[in-house]
Amino acid sequence: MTAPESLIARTFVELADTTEPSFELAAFLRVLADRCAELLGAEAAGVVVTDGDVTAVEGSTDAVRELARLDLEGEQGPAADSRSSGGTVRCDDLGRAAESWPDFAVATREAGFSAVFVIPMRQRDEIIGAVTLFSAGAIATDEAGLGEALVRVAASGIVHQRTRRRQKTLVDQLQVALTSRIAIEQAKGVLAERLGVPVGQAFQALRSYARSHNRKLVEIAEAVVAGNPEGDAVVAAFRAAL
Amino acid sequence: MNESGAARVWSSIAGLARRDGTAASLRHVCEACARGLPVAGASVVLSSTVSTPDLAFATDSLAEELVELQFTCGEGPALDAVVGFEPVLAADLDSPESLTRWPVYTAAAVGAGARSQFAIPLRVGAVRLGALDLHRRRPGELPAGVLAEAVIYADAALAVVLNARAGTAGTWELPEDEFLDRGAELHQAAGMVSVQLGVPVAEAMVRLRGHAYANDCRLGDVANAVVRRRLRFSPAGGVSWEEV
Repeated sequence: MTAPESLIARTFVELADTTEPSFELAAFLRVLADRCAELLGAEAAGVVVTDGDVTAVEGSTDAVRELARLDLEGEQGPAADSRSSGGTVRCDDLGRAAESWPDFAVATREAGFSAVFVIPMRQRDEIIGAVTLFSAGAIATDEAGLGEALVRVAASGIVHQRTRRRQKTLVDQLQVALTSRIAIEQAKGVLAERLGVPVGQAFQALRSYARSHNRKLVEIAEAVVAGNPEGDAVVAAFRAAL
Repeated sequence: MNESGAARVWSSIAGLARRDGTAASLRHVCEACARGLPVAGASVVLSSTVSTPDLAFATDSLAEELVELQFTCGEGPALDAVVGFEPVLAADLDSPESLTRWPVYTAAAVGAGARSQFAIPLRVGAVRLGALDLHRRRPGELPAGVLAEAVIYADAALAVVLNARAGTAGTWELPEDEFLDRGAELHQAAGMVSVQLGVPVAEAMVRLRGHAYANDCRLGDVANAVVRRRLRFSPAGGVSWEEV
């Protein structure tokens, strides 16, 4: 089976984009599982990611998600083997795999599958997870190259996302907290002078406006310091409440 | 923030200023930064207003070219940092993410020889003054410790800019710089003085500093007097004291 090129291209774009602020690992892994199954001619696919302190298991169906979990947590299955060997693992007849993967083979056959194919998820020398394809019949490997490319793009997206998240945490610690605190002090000064009140009272004005308009304190502080119309609204609201 | 990192940054800048026998300037900040961090070059852009930043100093021709390209294209990490809240980190300018974010600038920057770029805003609270722009010729993230030091260099650049505008350059010791003291009162006072004078808060910071220098008193004491309403700045020039 050959997948249409437009779908392949769209999938690469989808998997490469981990920059959205709304990025969620679970949703991303579900997309990866769905597309791998669809493009590589399998009936279902499970994904496992174990990246530092993050462990995530997803699947194109609930049943294969549980199979992937069994493989991961039982440390016995094709993905576990792939993790230790670093290469792909295939088994076209799970009836013959009872010895190597007793629990996994039985559960997988009960779910109606007889063949599996695992592609390790690799970033440089580090293995951060695996995609397991499940099928009732033998899985054709003529699309294996495509599968490896998809998984490589996904792995790189996951690692970049992690790096960005860590850097963002660091940046937040370093600067944003401080910046916000100072912006609030500046706004207190501006309001104290505009309202002719002590700075403590100016803070009350800032806080009650932010609260009643369901806004972040620092956003209101910025508006006050920048002299935006919203800053005037804070002044007006305080005077009206007197 | 790591104290020894801060001390190292400030003393490297002071060392270059001493070598030249002048007050610490943006040139010293940029040069110390390019030497002290694993980057190929550094520049500082300043915004008189947010929409029109100017190149204030660049350590090398590539740093200068990158700033020019960003101005020409109207986009880029440093321009984002000037108006943004936080550092803008482009670990690979030749990546789909960078291309999506800065479609015109990235190709030009890579063509000029840059592969990664990290821009740190010069900010004090809600006041934005510009950005410290770092680049490398190879892709890769900036390690956390390096990023932390880059933020300290950005603070130093900010202190130098405020000193220069207040006409107090060379009279204030950088490592003890009071304006970056995190005390609340200074920032409250800057907000109050901006209203008294009808000027932006950045300008009020400069005026407070200038006043302290001209009267040979501590900036913290000036700020305290403003917040206690014992000292007012007048738009006509000069200040008024109220006896308590």
